[in-house]
Amino acid sequence: MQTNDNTDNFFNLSIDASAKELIKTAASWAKIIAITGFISASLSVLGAIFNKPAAGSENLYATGGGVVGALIIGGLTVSINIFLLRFASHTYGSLNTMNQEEFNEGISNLRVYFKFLGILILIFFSLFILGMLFFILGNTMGQ
Amino acid sequence: MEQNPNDSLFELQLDHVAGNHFNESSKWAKFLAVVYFSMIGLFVVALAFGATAMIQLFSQFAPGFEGAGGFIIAVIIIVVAVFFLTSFLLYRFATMTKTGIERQDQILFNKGLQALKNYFIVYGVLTLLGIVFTFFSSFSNLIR
Repeated sequence: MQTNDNTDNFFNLSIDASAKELIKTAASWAKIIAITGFISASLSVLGAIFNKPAAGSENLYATGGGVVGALIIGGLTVSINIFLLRFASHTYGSLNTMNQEEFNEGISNLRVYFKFLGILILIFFSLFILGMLFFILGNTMGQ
Repeated sequence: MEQNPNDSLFELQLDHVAGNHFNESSKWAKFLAVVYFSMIGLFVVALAFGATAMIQLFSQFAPGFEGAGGFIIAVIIIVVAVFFLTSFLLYRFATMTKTGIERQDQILFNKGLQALKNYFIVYGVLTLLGIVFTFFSSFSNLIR
């Protein structure tokens, strides 16, 4: 039996007038967050690149590391905020055009946004725990 | 105002696809909120036990810091409270949206969306404040 998942109202819930207003406001703020995220990432990278090092090779290495770090953090910030911006634009647009597929696409981007953040936190925590383990092991071996 | 049942004909529906996306969003939002709550808890415990030591440490680098210690702690408490509010709103979005979908409760589902809206507002104001600080720190780096 063929079913059409895109059009079947599997859930008896709808995006009523109240929900529509709430999602519109959420999408507007999500757009602001995404744009400020892009600007913030650019400023951090520019700040790291043009950060004037003092004389000495160690400082040059430190500056290079700072630029790489800023590029990684900036890249991650931009990637995350792309999904947030897509959520904002697709959802906001769908509420004006009443396009169900575009609405679903917008919510899918919200899902990816939260998933991306969750996975990043998991990775950072794993690295942190690993770092702590190596630190403790190093201290124990050194004694 | 009485709502016409036929109005739903002209509304977007929470179909199978959108429902699943909302469910998965709620799952990850709940995970994030729980992680944030744990981080706040750990930070509060660290602050409760190490506040005096922290003020003493800072006072070695900046003499006269002891006097501003109370002010700094007040600022930290405000920051923690704002962070807690953000996490709470995220948790509320996660639980209410998921339960709203499970129970087919439009009011509960809308409350979840309201929490999402408030979460984005608080987070948006914080990022706007953050960008002002980033701008000034980048600017000071450039002119240094």
